[in-house]
Amino acid sequence: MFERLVQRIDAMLFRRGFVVTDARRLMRNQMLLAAGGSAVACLATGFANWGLSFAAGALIISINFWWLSKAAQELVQVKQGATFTLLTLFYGRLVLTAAAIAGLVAWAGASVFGLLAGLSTVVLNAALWGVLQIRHKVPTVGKGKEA
Amino acid sequence: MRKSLLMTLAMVLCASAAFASDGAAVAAVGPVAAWATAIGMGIAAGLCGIGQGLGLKAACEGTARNPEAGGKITVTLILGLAFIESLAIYALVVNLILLFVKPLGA
Repeated sequence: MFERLVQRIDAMLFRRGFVVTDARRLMRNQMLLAAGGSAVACLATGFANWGLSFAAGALIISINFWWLSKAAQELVQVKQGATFTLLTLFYGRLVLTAAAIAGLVAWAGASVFGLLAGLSTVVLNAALWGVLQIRHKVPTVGKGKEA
Repeated sequence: MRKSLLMTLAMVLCASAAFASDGAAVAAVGPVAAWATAIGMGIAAGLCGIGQGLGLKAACEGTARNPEAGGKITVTLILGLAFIESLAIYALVVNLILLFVKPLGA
């Protein structure tokens, strides 16, 4: 069942323009991490303020990451004007994120620590990806002298 | 170096003592927090923008030199950009805490 879900997410991401395999996997991991983490946080806290803030933070950062990874896949092929476009997108994203987080903190009374934990899912995802990549590259047996 | 550090420390201590002796200390924290927020967010956004620009520049150069490595470079670029962007968002959250939650006072 989980494999089918992963395949369906992969197919959806491919249709939406995630053509680089590893970028697609990263985005899929982020979606699963955000959804799973939000579900666990909401259920563990009984849909209290902390859990809902976590879910809101995870949603915001996942949308942000989607936009970023899709733009990066296209911009890396562009020869001229890529940096300007990237910076414009970065500041646009930052303004929208600021508006959303300000609304949540100032008016909706969201828990700041829950929000921060939700926003940290992308860092966790990237760190896990890095650790797994290093683990695949380092030989588990021998001392490396064979190579 | 040590002299300037000591002078800065002394100034900070004197300033806090002056604030503490004044009844308007709590009221003064508000504008100070607003200034700190503005300056902090400006520095964070500017430096993160420079970092992202440099990262993308290097990735474009790498892809132009070796197009076969484009996929790996793209993933590394996405990871780098995500880390940099999360730094900017953390700075944003801290600044919003200073502005709205007001942990330093009214």
